[in-house]
Amino acid sequence: MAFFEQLSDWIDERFPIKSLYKKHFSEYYVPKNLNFMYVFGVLAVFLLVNQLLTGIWLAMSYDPSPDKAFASIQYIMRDVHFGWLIRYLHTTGASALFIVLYVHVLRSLLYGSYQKPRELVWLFGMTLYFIIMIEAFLGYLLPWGQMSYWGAQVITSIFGSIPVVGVGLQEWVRGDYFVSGVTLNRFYALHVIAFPILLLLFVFLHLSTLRHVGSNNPKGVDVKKYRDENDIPLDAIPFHPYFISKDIFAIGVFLFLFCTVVFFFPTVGGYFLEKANLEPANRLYTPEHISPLWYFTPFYAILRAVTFSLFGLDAKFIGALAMFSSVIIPFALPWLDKSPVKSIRYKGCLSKIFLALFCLSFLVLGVVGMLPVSASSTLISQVFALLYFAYFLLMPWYTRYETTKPVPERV
Amino acid sequence: MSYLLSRVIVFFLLILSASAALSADVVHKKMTPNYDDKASLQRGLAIYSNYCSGCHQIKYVRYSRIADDLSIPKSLFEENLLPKYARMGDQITSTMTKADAKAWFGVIPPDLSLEAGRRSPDWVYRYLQSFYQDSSRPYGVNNALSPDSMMPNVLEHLQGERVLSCQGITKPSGNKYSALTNSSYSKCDIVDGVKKGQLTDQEFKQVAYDVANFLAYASDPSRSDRESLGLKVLLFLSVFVFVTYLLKKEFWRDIA
Amino acid sequence: MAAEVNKGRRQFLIGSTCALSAVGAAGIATPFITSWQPSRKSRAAGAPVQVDISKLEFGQQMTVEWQGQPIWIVRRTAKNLADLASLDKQLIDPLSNKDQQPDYAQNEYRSIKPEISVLVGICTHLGCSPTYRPDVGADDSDNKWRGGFICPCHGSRFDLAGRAYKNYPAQSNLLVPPYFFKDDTIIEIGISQKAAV
Repeated sequence: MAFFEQLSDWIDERFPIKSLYKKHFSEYYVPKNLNFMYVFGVLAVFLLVNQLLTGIWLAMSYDPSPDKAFASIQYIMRDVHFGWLIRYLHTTGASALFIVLYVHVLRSLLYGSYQKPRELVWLFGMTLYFIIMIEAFLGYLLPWGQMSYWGAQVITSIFGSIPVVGVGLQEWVRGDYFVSGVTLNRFYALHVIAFPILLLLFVFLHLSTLRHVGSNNPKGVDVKKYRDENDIPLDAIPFHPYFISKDIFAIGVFLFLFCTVVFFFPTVGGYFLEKANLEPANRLYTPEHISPLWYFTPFYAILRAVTFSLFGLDAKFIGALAMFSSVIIPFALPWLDKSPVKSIRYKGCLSKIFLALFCLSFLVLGVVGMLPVSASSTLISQVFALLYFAYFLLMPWYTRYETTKPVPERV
Repeated sequence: MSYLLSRVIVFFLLILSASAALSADVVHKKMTPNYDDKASLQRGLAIYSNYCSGCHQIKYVRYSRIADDLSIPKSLFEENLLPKYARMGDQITSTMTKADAKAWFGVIPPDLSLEAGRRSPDWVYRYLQSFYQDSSRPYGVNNALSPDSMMPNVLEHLQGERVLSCQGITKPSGNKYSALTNSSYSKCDIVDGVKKGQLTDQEFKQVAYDVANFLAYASDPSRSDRESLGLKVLLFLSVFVFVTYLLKKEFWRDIA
Repeated sequence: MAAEVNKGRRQFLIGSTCALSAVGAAGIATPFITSWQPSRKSRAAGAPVQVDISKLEFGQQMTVEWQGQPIWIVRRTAKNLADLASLDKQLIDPLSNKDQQPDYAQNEYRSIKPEISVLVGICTHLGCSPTYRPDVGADDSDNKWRGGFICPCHGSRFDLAGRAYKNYPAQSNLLVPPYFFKDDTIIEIGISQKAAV
């Protein structure tokens, strides 16, 4: 025992593990009224680690050349020991990460976690989400199946819709006149090196800003205001052991669901792994119905909702702009919300209605984005795209206009 | 124990899917792959080797893997199923060159390793039953599931000739139905023709089932491993969740 | 805060959670570690190979590849075989006591048939591939050399049964791979007779 004491003292003089442990675990105070929605951040970190590990292992057997990419996936699935497990962990992990992130963001919307003083936490978080979307898109090309190929073809074509510079930009992104081996190689480099590094940087920024200002809570009250004689917040409890034990339990429950999918329903009927991607990329023939993976479909539906030209601009370009805005507009949330209260529990009726409509529009757009285009699907996506934007654009008005309930002083 | 449990789960899944299949369709258009029916898989492999492997390949599958998974002794496999030019570890390719295939069929016969995954085992099952006589086609047969398919009906001597009989559609001259759209096929039935095959309808359905079952296995050979390991993992996780729940409860008793 | 804490229960739950986590971590590590084993593709490429030795003359050596290694097959002359016994004093392990060969090759010729020697052509010192030097007296001044293999990297010496000479870097005999005679002229390398049946 004495040896370990000496060892930890020796290290502590050179690297302050003891004070770090106190600052971030034993004496890091967290509101005691956090509900189950607060575990999704930990789950996202957990999944990120899963993606990194399985990704490194996949890269060991994957071959990023147009001739061999598709076959090397089958090599992983059939010839490498446990290759199927490592790949299914990666593919299921990608979809699960988006599910977890959507709940994580919904939690912020419900309890106003983006409001002062957590604006930076929100901005770094949204940047992370944006990076993860690009990372997922880059990774989706790698299996070099039909869906991979035509998905990349469609999304890189969006650059071509930009007036004047579009076509040049599109060629620059692809590095060729079409999605080719050059594109595959650069997407691979970005997917396995550049974006993971960027991702880790922003995870660090997101977490350190959060640790600086502390977690919000479902009531949106400041738990650090009332303190006891030892200056310990009355309504907060140490991260260790209370939240550590809660998070481990949450990870267990999550893993149970996750593993059920990985081991028994890895393709989830084509939603996590699309059937058309079991056919090697063929640039002379487009599969009948192409749609992005489910986590992109709300934005894809907004892209397709624009079927009209405006101000002399091409419909294709406006659609791209609309899609881009739908991803970018949440960044402005901390400054759009003028409400004096944080949590939805004390906000007025209008906030609740608009948030409900926003969630509904996100779901409906997600479903519509998966379906083939028809007249009715276009109309539906136009209506719900408007609702999607209304949540943000009308927020300054309805949050000021409505009457709020009084917020309690304590938790 | 876990073996038994997995059987139980598979059994319930089977009942579920079977009842779904029954309610949807009475004419055996659905099939549920059963990887544990080694006899069916072995028959499927035999039919594949005899009738399909001349033109198609299953190039992501290795002979040795099949021998292992279908419980066929290596020596038996080498004597009866392994082509002279191949070794046990080789991937299963066809001897036909792409140029020949182009010349004979106009298309390159697709690789079948992933066919059952890309479409579905049902599709393979139905495709094999959906050939009918059509003199306008190069090989004298057409396929109701995949109109104008370039594949000859290699199982014809087993199945016998079949003809298309459509309600409310007058039969065009020359027994030509290739102008039919997909939706009008739904009004049509494939019925027995004049020339009988070596097998009864029921026996032929079994042949189609075995091939579809084999191709389903070929497209997803890790499924048996996956499900048996998955069961153990889930059992472990239930214990883990139970204990960590108690631990969490225990700590949180401190909090008033 | 609740008044009493059941310390025993708490300790037990902490202990079980830690133990279960350790089991879980080991379980997670298993597929990642196992996946580094040679894949089915590598195993297929490293499968046993058949060699036709009908054209191999006395005193001749041929090299085939098995699992990425050179495998030597030498048809030794009666003179070669007679010489082997005379070398015992200069060798490190003349009786092949060290486990460098299958049981059926643990004899004075280190082979199944006396005249046919099958060896893995990798020096047991640091992995270079030695050179075949069959000529008597080819190498040294005192005419003691009775034919064998000399490693170009660090000069290790082996006789025609792959046995290492004393006072050179290599300290054990060359490996004999598993093999058997399928018939008089066909050798199957990489698998023993028993395992093949």
